[in-house]
Amino acid sequence: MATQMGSEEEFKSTIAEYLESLPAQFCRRVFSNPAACLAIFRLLSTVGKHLVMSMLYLDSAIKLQDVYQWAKPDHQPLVRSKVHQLRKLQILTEERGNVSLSPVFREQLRNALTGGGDFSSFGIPFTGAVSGRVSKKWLASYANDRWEAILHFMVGHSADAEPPSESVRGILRMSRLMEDSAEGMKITNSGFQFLLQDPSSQVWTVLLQYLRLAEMQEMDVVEVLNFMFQLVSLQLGRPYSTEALTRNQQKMLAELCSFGLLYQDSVGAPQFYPTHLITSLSSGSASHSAPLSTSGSAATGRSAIPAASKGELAKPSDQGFIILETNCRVYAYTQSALQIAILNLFVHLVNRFPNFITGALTRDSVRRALSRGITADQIITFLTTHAHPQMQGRTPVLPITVTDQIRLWEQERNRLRPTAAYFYKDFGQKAEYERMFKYAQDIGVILWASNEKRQLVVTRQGHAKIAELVKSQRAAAAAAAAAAK
Amino acid sequence: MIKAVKGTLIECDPAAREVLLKLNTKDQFIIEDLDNTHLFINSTHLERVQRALDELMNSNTYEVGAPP
Amino acid sequence: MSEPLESDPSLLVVVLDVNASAWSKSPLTVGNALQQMVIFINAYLALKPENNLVVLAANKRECKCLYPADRTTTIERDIRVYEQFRVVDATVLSGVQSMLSGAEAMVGDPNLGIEEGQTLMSRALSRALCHIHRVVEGTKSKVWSRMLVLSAADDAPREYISLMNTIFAAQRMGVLIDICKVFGGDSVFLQQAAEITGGNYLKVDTNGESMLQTLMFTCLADHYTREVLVAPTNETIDFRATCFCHKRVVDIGYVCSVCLSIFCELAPVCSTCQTKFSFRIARSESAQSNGVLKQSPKPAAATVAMSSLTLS
Repeated sequence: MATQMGSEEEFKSTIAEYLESLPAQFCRRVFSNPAACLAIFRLLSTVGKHLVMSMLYLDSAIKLQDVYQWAKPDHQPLVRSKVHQLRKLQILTEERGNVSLSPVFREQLRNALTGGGDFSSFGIPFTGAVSGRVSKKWLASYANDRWEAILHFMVGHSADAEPPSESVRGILRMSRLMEDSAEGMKITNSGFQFLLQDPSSQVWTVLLQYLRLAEMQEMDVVEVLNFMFQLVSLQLGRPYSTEALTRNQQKMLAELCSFGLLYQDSVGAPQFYPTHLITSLSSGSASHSAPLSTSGSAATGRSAIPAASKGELAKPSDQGFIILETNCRVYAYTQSALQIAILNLFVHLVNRFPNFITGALTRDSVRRALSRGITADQIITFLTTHAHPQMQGRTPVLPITVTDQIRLWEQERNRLRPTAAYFYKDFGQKAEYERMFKYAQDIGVILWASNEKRQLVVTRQGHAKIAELVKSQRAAAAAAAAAAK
Repeated sequence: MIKAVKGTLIECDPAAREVLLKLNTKDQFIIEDLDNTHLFINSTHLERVQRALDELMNSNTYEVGAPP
Repeated sequence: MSEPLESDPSLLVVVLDVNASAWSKSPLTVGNALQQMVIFINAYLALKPENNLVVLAANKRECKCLYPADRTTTIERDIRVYEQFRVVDATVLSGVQSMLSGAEAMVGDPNLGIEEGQTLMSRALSRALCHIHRVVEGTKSKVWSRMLVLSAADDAPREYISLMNTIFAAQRMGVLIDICKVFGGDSVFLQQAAEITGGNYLKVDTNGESMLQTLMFTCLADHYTREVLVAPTNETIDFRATCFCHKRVVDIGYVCSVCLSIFCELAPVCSTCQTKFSFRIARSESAQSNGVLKQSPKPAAATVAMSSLTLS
């Protein structure tokens, strides 16, 4: 499930999984758009990307075996799995042992690189008069305000702000980040994990949920996907025209506006602006440089930089606010209710001042977080990315004693590693055991085995296959017996 | 004749195994004691056992110094 | 040096040889080659959003940084192209155009000689290294850097020393140098550059149609991918050196036993380190030490001598 994902990398693989689950003709329609091809290409793994690029300008199909030969001997399995993934995504097609790129994908990716093909795929810029107040800086503060309002709503500190729109709440409910309870909506465990993710994974989570919602409302998924990929490739701070958008896309536009991913002057205005929340998904620069630190001017001033500084050589450093000492004490310079609520997930808070709170990581506070499904890595990542500039310069950023302790606390909770399985015993003959052991080993499903006791534990998936084998052997034996008679 | 039993394989350290064996005397949930680090148990009891182990371990932990 | 990770961003410095007189002899036109190069650059930028790019252009007289450009030029907006690609493509193409037209104006110059067909590669490479150094120093996370040289011109023997120094500096910095030689004979120096730094040396066949495919296949791979995939190998590499006195490429020459400078003929004083050679010892020793020096050109500690050295 998408909301269980810790990092952006993992999440990207789940949007790839979503694409894999689409039927072939859907994929072909998604591929008919250069922007979508480029965005999908960027979701691939490094080796996958290289395989695609190597074949992009090959005119004829090549032997699958030759592709495997591109890998160094000890990396063959890796390349095989990447080829397999490309085939599941319908990017690679195989015919009689020869592989080539899907013709539509190849043509559109070439178009994306050379600038040909469908002229509107990277968004139609709006040419009419625009109001001067929409600057990159303004957009950044607008987006942050909107996004934070939603996060505030999730942690239940939204006393001063009105609750987000029905569609936002619908998506939060559907993704099980929040659930209905007697006293209004309540945050769930996966909601807590969501809060600890970096903004770009959060946005991906929302987008994926939106896709599921569109499916349920029987909207055309390809239309939604194409629009989504188009949005991701837009340029920050420019107005785009809504003219060529379909009705579904208009609707989607309005809903993404309520998340702060896009901005429109008024409902039905002829132009819209993408904000850094959505453009950073493709440029990648904002995942580090625009954290949702709610301390106001510092955050918004900085998040206006990313797209502009892309060509520049160094990235600006992050403005963190947390100091963590080796004795597990935590000092946080923040006045944001949201940040305090997030810290409260795993820190035992002691003092609160107008712009400063103190607390400590204790066994109980960390265990409380762990029991909500938050992982030690999530806590450590959060502390690292929000560390105070004075701590940023050190390597490692966090005191090693503390990070080790957090990991130990996590390990002590997970002393049992359970796996759903089947247990085989009472094998009649040695040969019978050995035959089954060999088969199970070949398909790689053995969890535990003892030759002395002639006992075997295999995974649930493995059991299905082994049952099939036994059944077919029995049938063969029965047939042989019948023939003998 | 081969027998196939559905359940859950538990991989754990020997200390945790001893605790589980002790818990098992109250109500039988272990199907087979495989070796020092592996047990095969009834899936329906998994959550209860995990909780019981956690509680037992928790009662055996002592905080050094009071929290600030 | 640590292992490259899949998520590490890379930095690519593309060095374009825009020597007009060299390209005029090539069956592949500059325009065509540039177009293929621009597609390659787009492909590189498409790989990872964090990927960094620098484009340098060099000819006989100057070496210019085309991207990132110093001044921000306003470029005609083309909605069909992804914004990031468009900016890079336009700056690179206009930069090359202006350099080529600048060179054409000089054609009437009577001072032009055989060296017109040579490009000051060492200047471009050292400038590229400076860019790399700046990026690596300015970035907190690990950046893996490499260079791609699109070369058309012949080797300039006078550049040998500075070029070799640059190559060894690149090797120390862990920078790979990929070479794409478009036409003409193999470039002895650039072949060595690729070999020493662990990059690829590519010779594109005469019509140059397959250049893009070759580039995509071999030069697009980052450090991580190169660990996984097989790289094409060079069978024969010309390791010959140029002498320091007349800039001639030599098979056999004399080597200063103190500073290892190479000379094509006997000289009483080393022009590099000013060491005076004692010829009496040299004559008698050269015969014996010849074989030893071939393997390990280590200067004998006490004898200041000039020995003949065979370079394989």
